[in-house]
Amino acid sequence: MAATTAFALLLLLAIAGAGGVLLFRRPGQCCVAFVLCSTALAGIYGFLDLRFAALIELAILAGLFGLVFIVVLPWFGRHTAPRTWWASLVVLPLTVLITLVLSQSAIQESAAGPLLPMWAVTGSHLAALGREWFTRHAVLLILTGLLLLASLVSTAYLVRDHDALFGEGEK
Amino acid sequence: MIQPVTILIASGLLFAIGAAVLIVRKHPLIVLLGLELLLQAVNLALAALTLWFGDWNGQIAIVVIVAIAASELSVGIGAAIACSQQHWTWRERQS
Repeated sequence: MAATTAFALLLLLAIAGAGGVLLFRRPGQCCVAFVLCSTALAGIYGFLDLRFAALIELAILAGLFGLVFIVVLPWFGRHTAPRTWWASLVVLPLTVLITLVLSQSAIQESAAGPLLPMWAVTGSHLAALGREWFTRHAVLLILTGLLLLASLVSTAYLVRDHDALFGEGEK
Repeated sequence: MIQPVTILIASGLLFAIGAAVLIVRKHPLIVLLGLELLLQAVNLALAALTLWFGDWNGQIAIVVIVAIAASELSVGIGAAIACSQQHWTWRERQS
């Protein structure tokens, strides 16, 4: 019963995120809603024991897309309100943690599992804030490069660590 | 017990929302987000079918689709930025 409730919550989160993309007015808010949706979907894949798909979804979609969308926004002449930045800084890492807990997958067992994708998402927002506050592209480029590297390393580490991919069969 | 039909219904809903975003919204970034929602809906349907048939090839297909979505997004964003730098507007041109 608890597993069914958790799964239903994850589905609702994903649909709520998609609804946010449709209904929010500002592109920054739509980007945050999309990252919420893809993070919830990563939790659903983890719940269905599709660990590789869950890791790829977290590292690439939630981390990289959050970075790409939110950083690219100022080039379109749109300025996201500071409260959206701060809200995303708090909401998105919490969402990643909640979906990882709800997914009840083996990702939790690895110490690096919940942390590095979470910091990829959080760090992307810090990098974007750095761009807003300091307007130093070198700082942004270095930060984003490090974050992408961290996401790729964490994904490779977790993939290597899982018996399900290289063992004889699934549990 | 999680029913694959439930996941397929959610996938359909996600696809419908993505299609609505494509049709209703005009901002290029949001249209790209709608495209990504369509692909995510397909991934969710593949996940449901993996659960239903127990064939793990569905997971490989999900990874391939995510990789293709990432490449398509980078091209789309590049095109959108190029358009915005030429000061194009996002309204339809009166030809």
